[in-house]
Amino acid sequence: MSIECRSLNYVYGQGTAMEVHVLRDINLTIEKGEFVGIIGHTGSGKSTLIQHFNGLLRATEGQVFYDGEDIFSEGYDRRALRGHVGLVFQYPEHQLFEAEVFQDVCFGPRNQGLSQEEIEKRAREALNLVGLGKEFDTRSPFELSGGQKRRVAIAGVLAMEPDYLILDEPTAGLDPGGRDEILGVLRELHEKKGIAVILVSHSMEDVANYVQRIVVVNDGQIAFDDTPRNVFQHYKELEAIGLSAPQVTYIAHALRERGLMVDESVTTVEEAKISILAALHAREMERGRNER
Amino acid sequence: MMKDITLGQYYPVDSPIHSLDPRTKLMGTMVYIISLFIADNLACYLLGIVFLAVVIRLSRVPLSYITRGLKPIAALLLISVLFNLFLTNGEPLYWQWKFLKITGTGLRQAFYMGLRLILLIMGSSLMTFTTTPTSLTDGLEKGLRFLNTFHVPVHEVAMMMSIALRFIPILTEETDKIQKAQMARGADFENRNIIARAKAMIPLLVPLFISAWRRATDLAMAMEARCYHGGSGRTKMFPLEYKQADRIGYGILAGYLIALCLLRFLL
Repeated sequence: MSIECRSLNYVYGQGTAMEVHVLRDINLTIEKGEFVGIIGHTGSGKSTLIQHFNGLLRATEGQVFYDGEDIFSEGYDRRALRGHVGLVFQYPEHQLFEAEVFQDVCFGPRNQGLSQEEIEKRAREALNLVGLGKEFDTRSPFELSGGQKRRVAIAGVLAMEPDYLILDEPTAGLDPGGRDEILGVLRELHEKKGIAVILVSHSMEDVANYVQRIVVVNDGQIAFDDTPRNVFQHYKELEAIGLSAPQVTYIAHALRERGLMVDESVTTVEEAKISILAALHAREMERGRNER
Repeated sequence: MMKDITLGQYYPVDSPIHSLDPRTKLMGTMVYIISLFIADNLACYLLGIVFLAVVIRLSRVPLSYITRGLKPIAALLLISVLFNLFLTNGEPLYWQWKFLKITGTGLRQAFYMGLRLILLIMGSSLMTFTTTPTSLTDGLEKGLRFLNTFHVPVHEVAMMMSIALRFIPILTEETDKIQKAQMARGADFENRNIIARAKAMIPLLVPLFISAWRRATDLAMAMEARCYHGGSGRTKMFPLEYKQADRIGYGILAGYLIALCLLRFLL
C-alpha cells in the first residue's frame, strides 16, 4: 500500500508566455501509516505536488501509482481514488456550502454512493473525531468560528474514511489554540486509526513536533527527504532556500557555542528540555568533582 | 468551464500594442467595433479581417488564446446565425418549410452576422489581453473626463470597472480551487446528465458567492482604511501622455476607417 510518484514533471500554462516549470523530476513514495511533513517556501510547488496524489492534476510527464496502479491509466476510477486519498485544501472552510454542519459532512460519503445509514454513521464519527459534538449538527457552518469551520471541513474529508489524509497548510490563519487542536486531531488519527497523514506546512515547529519524516521541496525539486532530526541538521542549507529549523534547534546550537554540552540535533521543546537538563546536571557533577 | 472565459485577462508580453497608450487602444477598439457595423460587403469584411490579423500579429498574443474567448459565446453565435439564416425574407428563395426559409439575403446576412460577432469578440478581447485593468481604467478615466462637466461621476465608474475587471481572474481562480476541493470530496462535474450537472453546481456556486461577498467587504474596508474618498483632488503617480507611437496609431486608425468607408460607399 503506497502512493508513488515516478519522475513527475508538471508544467503550468505550457506553450504560453506564462509557462512555469512547477515540478521537476519528483520521485517520492509514501507508505500507508506514515506521518509525513512536506515543507517548502511559498511557490516551491508543494501544493501542486499534493494535487497529483489524488489525480486532481495530471502530470505533464511521469506517473503516479496508487497501490502499484497508474492512476491515469485507461479506465482507472479516480473518483474512487479520492475516497482513499483524502485531500484537505488550504482554507478548507471556504468550500462549505450546506445550511447545516451535518449535511455538509455528508457530502463526501454521499458522493461515494453509500447507504443513508452508513453516510450518517460516518458523518457522525468524523465530527466526533474533530471534536464537534451533536449540538453542532444542525447549526449553520457559516456562523461558527474560524477554527470550528475548519474542523467541519476536515470532517467532511474524514467522513470518506480515507487511508491517506493530505492537508495543505491546515493551521494557516488559526490562533495557537486552534492550531494545537487541529494538529492534535491529526496525531490521534494517525495513532489510533492508522491513517497516513501528509502535512504540508511552512511552519517548522508544527512539522517537527508531529511528523516522522520530512520532505523538503525547493523550486519544484526534492531537496531533502529524511527524519526531522537529520533534515534540521542542514539548517544552513534550509536557510539558503528560505526555510529554517525549529527555534529550539537554534537555541541548542547557541548553548553549545557557549560551552553547554547539549545535543544539537533536538527538534522539539520536549527533547530540548531533557537535553538541557542533562547537560546542566553533567556540568554540576563536573563542578562538584573539581571542588573536591 | 470558467477557465475558458478569457475576457478581462491580461497576457503579459512586450509588444508595440502593449506599450500603446490605453486611450489609443480604447479608441481603436471603439472605431473597430463601429467599422464592423458600417461594413456590409465582402471587401469591407476582408479589410476588417486583415486589420485585426495585423494587430494580433503585432501584439504577440497567440491566436489560440484569442479564439478561446469565442467558446463561451458559441451558443449565442449559433443562435443568431440560425435565426438570420432561416427567418430572413428576401430574394432568391432557395428552400421553404412552413415559416422557415433559406433565401439569398438570409444566407448573406447569416454569414456576415457570424463574421461580425467573431471579429467583435476577438477585437475587444485583444484590448484586454494587451492592456492591464489598471491602465485600462486610467485610460477610460482620462478619456472621458469631459463628462465631469455633466456631473457624470467618471472616476467612480472607472474605479468600479477596474475592480470588476480585476475580480474576473480572482474569481476564476477561486472557482477552480473550490471545484477541486469539491472533486476531492467526490463531486462529479463531468457527468453527462444535465440535471446531475446542474445539481453539482450548488456546491460550487454557494461557496463562490460567499467568497465574492467576503472579498468585496474586505476590499471596501481596505479602501476605507486608506481614506479613499473618490475622485476629486486625486492625482496620478504616472499621468498618461501620448507618445509618437500613439500618434502613428491614430493615423493608421483613421486610414483604416476612411478606407473602409470608401469600400462601403463606393463599391
